[in-house]
Amino acid sequence: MSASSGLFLLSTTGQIETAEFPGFDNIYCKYCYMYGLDWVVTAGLEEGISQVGRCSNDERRIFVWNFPLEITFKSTNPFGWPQLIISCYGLDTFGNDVVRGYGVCHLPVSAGQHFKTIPMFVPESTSLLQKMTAWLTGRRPEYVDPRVLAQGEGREVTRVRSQGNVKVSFNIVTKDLQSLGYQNSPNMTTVTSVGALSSHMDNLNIE
Amino acid sequence: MAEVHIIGQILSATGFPSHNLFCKWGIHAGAGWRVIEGLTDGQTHVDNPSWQDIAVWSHPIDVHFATKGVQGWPKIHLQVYHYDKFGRSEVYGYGFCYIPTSPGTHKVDVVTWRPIGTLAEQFRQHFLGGGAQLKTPDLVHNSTDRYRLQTETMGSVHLEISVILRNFAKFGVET
Amino acid sequence: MPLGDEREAFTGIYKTNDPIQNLKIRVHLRHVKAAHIPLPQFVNEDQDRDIDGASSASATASVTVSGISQARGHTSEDEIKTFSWQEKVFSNYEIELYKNIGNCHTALQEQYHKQVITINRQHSQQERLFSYVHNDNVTNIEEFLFLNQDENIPTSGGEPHHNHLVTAMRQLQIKQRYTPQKFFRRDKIKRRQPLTQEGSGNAEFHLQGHLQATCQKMYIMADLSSSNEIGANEYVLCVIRWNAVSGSLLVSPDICGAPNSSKPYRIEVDGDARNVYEYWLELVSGGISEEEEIKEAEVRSKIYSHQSDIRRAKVGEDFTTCPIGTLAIHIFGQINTLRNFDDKNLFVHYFVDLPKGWSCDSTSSLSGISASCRAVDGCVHLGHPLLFSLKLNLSDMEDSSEIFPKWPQLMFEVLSLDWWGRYCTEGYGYIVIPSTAGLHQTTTHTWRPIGSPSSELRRFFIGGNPELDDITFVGVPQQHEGNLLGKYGLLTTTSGNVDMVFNVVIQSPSSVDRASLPGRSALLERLSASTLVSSVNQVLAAFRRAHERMLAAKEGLDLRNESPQQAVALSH
Repeated sequence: MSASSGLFLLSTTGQIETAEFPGFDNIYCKYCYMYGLDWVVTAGLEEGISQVGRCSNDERRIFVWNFPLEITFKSTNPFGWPQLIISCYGLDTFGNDVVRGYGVCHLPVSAGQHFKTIPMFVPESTSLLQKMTAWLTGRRPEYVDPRVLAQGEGREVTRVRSQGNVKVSFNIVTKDLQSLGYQNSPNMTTVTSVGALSSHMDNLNIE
Repeated sequence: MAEVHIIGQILSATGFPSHNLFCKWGIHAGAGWRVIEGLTDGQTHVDNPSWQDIAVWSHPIDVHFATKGVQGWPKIHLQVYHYDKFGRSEVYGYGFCYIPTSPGTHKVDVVTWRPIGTLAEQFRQHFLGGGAQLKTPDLVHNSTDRYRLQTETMGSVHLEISVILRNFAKFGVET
Repeated sequence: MPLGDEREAFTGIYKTNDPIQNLKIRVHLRHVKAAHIPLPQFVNEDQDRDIDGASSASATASVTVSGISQARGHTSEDEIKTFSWQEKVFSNYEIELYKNIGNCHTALQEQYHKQVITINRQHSQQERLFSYVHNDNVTNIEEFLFLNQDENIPTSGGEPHHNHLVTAMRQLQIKQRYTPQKFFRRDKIKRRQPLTQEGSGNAEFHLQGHLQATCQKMYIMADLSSSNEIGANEYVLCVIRWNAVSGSLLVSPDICGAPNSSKPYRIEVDGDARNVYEYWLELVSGGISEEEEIKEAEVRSKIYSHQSDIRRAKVGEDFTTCPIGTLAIHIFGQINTLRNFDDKNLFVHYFVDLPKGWSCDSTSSLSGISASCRAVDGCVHLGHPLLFSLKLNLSDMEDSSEIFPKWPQLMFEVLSLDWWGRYCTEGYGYIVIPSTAGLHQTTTHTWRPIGSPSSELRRFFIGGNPELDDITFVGVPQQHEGNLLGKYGLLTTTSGNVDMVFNVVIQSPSSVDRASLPGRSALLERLSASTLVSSVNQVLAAFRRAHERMLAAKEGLDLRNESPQQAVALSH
């Protein structure tokens, strides 16, 4: 996988750390990635389901998952940069498993450590009567496929209600991105080293 | 040719007088720019925040441009609308900003304003909604005729935009 | 429990697109016949002991801890078996079970019966390793394992806690075996299907499509019961899960390598520390042959070069460069907000002052008036675009005595328009356009001149205020000469702030090598490079002119038999 083949690698490790959902309890989250046609996963897990977490008793009222994210992509084109889609579900008062929030964010573009706070929202029923029946029966509106959130079209005039947020941390490492001519951060410092590794280390951007 | 990738999100909006907002966005570039991949306009969903006074959109933007020169750098213009319970939408603000020229991730706040009419029109707008709208939306990012407008301040829209540039250094462009 | 030579069990996550039938795992099972409970022993200083256990240390460590077992030399008692994917190996218990046709109820069991009666195996303690494959009644096994073995329950102590997700996942796995698999193609989301639907209130829908629910499983097991019982103590050595859609292979615990080179996993039968088995998992799938590998690499590079050719054809090759001896500076920006001004309805009148050596294609863009905007909470949103394309002529700069070029300044005046239609000055300010490339967000404070207290009162009631005659007074006035800049005598008061954003792009004729310029490059270095290039070009141009003159002079000569020196002498 050399630079002459036009490929670059993007590797990320991180975790879905905490979440805030005022008024709800017993929440678990599910994540998946959505990426363009030029991207391929070479290592790591593309999907995951976290444990069911309970809200903290103090005034912070946060859920802690510390759910690990680890994935490596290879691609020839930055178009279709991968996006992380998080869906959170929980039990309501009647014991139904209902959706508590969807959120989407791009993986950070430059190497290094990044912290993101992703706001969450749920689709909302239009009329008051529908809202009442949804609350009673537990059949609330949900996205058929949460990956539609990563696309820019098809969401006109759908109503959502935002509630809560999720904090995620990422550590990004890229390889061969700069040697292909792409600039993705303002102050570029390349890692220089001597010896047998130098031809590979030159292309590795960690910061 | 040099290439520009614009990857980001229209995150949220704050400072508007009511909830239930959505946003129409579009990216414009000069004549020497070509869109290789991606959508250059779209519309977000309608958000009704229950928790904080922030309208959350998280609408993804991913565009790939190729260009012959630095002139005509792309800019994004936004129109924020209010969607009321009867299904009508009225303009709540126009705003624009240039896509940042330096590579990396930037948090950009786009300030919005909307035109206001005479006193009678304002009176009617207060009760019935609606109000003056721009006939030619490119007045938003065009500076020549702006002095004719009387506007009022509305909220601001928050974007997070990451820019990846390619081959600009080869042609002597420092960004 | 943790001793020096035990290996921790982690799950290995692999990704492969190769056919899964090639997977082969070899298991070594060894009974540790230690008569005593092994205790950690301290090692001598000359032995390196590190926590991960490099191969030499682990070999010596195992000698020190369970020295007796090693001394008994148990390679003859090791059981070694190679399993390929979904290879069904029968345990002794299963042989006994399926031999009897009366025990076989389903078609699968009848098939096993046929296979079993052809196996003629001596019932011996040696054949402990066997496997359960995907088609066996796997969920029963999970139930069985979950409740009966301590190491498979996620939390220790007490009864296993099932949350609703465990039940939902188990039901999904059962359903998945009987319904055809739905493959989610990640790039295609059907456009016609509705965006939202009513949820079912059931966790099964939320877990659907997850790789745990759609994977094929295989269990490598060992029957570690004592000689008089069969099938009483079945332990899971390894669980292999394979998801064909995403190509994910999960092996838990992970592959550890050959017995001589790595630490084993330990099982204590029935929690009895005297009856211990150790086992190793080794990956022995056949590798790819060299020629195939070379062919694969060739095909891959051909595909990638084809794709990049297509992309290059779409994009094109040319780019407008700026002429030699100039720097092109493009500024894309906005006047964003005005804060903390007194009056409500404000607009900005601005212009750009270009020093010597600077030029601009369209001077009309250098000055302008923004829209007037009403304030909310003391804040005015203008969003007025600023677009300047400037050129700095470096050869001009060489002639003058200045070393560093003066940078243009943006001067502006904030005015208010009130309900009566009166204009009033609210503030003056200026800002030097940033000289480094990148995104700059600036805040400029403004001031306005005040006269006597009576003129302030007049301003409040009637309107009208002192204004500056020459707006360049705000910066360095144009008529200024000499070393001392004196603005003494003007009384001003503070006014509000103006927030502006500038994106500056600098283009020079030579290419910028980013790797050699760490951080932001100093403009001076670029300038000297440009001037060097321009001076070299001047020399070249002069030489070309002289050469042309010489050729023109030579034309009038007769060049038949004359020597070159004479020809030259004649031309002069």
